[in-house]
Amino acid sequence: MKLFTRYNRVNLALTAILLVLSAAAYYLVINRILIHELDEELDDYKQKVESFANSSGNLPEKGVLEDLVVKYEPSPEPVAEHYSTVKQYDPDEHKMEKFRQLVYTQRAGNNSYRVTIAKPLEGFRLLRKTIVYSTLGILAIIILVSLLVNHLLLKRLWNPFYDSIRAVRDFRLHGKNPPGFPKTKIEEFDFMNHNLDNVLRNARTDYQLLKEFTENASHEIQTPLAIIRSKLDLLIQDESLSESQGKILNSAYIAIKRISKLNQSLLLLAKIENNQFTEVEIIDVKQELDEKIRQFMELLQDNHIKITAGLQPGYISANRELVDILLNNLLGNAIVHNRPEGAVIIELAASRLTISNTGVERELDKSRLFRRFYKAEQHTHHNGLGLSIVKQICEHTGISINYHFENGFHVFSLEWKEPAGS
Amino acid sequence: MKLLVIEDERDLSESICTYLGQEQFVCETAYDYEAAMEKIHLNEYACIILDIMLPSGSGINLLATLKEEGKSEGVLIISAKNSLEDKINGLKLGADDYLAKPFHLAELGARVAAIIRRKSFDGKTRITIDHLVLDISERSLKSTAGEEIALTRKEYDLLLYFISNKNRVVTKEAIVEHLWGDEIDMADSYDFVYSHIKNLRKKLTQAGCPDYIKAVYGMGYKFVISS
Repeated sequence: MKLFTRYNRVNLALTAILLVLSAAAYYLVINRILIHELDEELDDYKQKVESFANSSGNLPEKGVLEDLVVKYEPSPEPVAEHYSTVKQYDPDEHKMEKFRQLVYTQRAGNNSYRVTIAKPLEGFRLLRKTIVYSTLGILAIIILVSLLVNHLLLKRLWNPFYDSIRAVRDFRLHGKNPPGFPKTKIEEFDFMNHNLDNVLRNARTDYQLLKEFTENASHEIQTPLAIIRSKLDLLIQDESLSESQGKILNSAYIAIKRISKLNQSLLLLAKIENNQFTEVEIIDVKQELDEKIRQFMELLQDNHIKITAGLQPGYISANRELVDILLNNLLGNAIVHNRPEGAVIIELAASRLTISNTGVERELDKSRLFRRFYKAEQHTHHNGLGLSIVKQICEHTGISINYHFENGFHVFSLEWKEPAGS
Repeated sequence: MKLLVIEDERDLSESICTYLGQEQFVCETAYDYEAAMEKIHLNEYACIILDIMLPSGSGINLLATLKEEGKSEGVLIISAKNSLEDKINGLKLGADDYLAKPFHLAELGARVAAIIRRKSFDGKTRITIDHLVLDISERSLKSTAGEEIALTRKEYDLLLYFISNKNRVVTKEAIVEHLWGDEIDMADSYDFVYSHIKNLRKKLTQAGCPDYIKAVYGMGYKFVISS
């Protein structure tokens, strides 16, 4: 539910209640005033009757023209003068009607009479009708107007809000453009935009610093690693080393290689995120794949893995270095995570590449597969960054990558937009 | 032959000099831009090993100066930045090769040897070592008796690598990186090294050469040529 629809509902309900209450109050007040007027009219007539009776000793004839119903009844007992509203038969309208009446005792000569002066309250019905209808009318007008206002005015009033939300939605931490919030004259929106702008700018600055930090840290790590490795290279020249010392050094070498690879992978990820691979050219994917397969042939043969390549011509507009890394990682994975006597199938079409391989007989965890440091098996010397680099390269290059497990094959399929003019 | 190592990390510089000094090279060191400039002007070197990321960022200036002055020294850039862009830039400016840190000293040795061969043989592309004659341009090997020893590409690369690092222990790991590059992350790559070395050794001994390749405590090999 939209904020204003909600507000509108509450508002309309309250307005309706208020209108009904005020209509009731209105009715009561007007009612009182009218009755007061009526009472005065009755009182006037009473005065007339009194003065007539005092001067003539008789009661006056009942008026024919007046709208009043007057009754005289002889009554020895005096009655207290009082006003009241009663229902009685109206001879003019031929039905029961409400009347306002005044009852009092009038002496005329030696006789005492109970005088009843009554006037129909028919005006009140009209009053009630008028008030009910006008209230309903006003309510209808309010609803209509608020709907119109909602449709026409409020949409426009809320426009800056939606513009801002859109700006935030389209904002990318690694993008280049500042978020760009539209100017607005409305104070609340302006306040919101100002703060959003600050938050996003700060986030981007922090992100930038973090990326630079990753890159710098990776670079800084290379030099001490180079020193350690070079010292080990010198140490093994010593002819007096024992075999057990050799084993220790070997472990140290392997560990250094791991750090070094890890560091290079992190650096590569940082560089892709930092958009440092800007040079794009049209690459003959078939040619690249042929070359890669040749490079990996020894590894394939040694593990008795059968490779089947169905390569149609295919081209992609991308950075050469990244495509090289991408194919290297995908093919390397297909071989390294294979089983002996397994198979690798590579299929290339104009803008689609699938690399399938046998391996563990179960589907890999799709949700975590492309995450950093994901490893299908724990104790391995792989750093678990290969596929997140693949993913990052795909995102950077505009390739969509998917994984599924089918008939014992782990299938990675890549699709991209064919470059124009190829 | 004289080498100049321009590297601000003294520890690394020292390692490089010790390693390369074990063979025919005499190493000089410069730890900063000024010292390097002075040495370049005073002496001639067979090869200059240049850290392009000197603290003042002047490594690239040194390279430019060398080229401006028409110096013929071969230059090997060593850099903590492993990026294609940097590599291309360096090579454009006239460097002969580019090696990213952290490297194996054996790899450095092989690269330096290759640069020196390219620079100084001037058409003479043969290396004669003990009983072996390598033809660099034809990538072929003969024994001194003139008998052709047929090698595969990998075996030839391996032999050249050994010769560039002769009489020094080279790890299996360094060999793997040299032959297959470090992009291929192979768990069982050491077995490949083993089989290539076995084949090479067999071919050399069959051709009547002594067994040059010594295994060292299961962590590497040494190509021994007694001089």
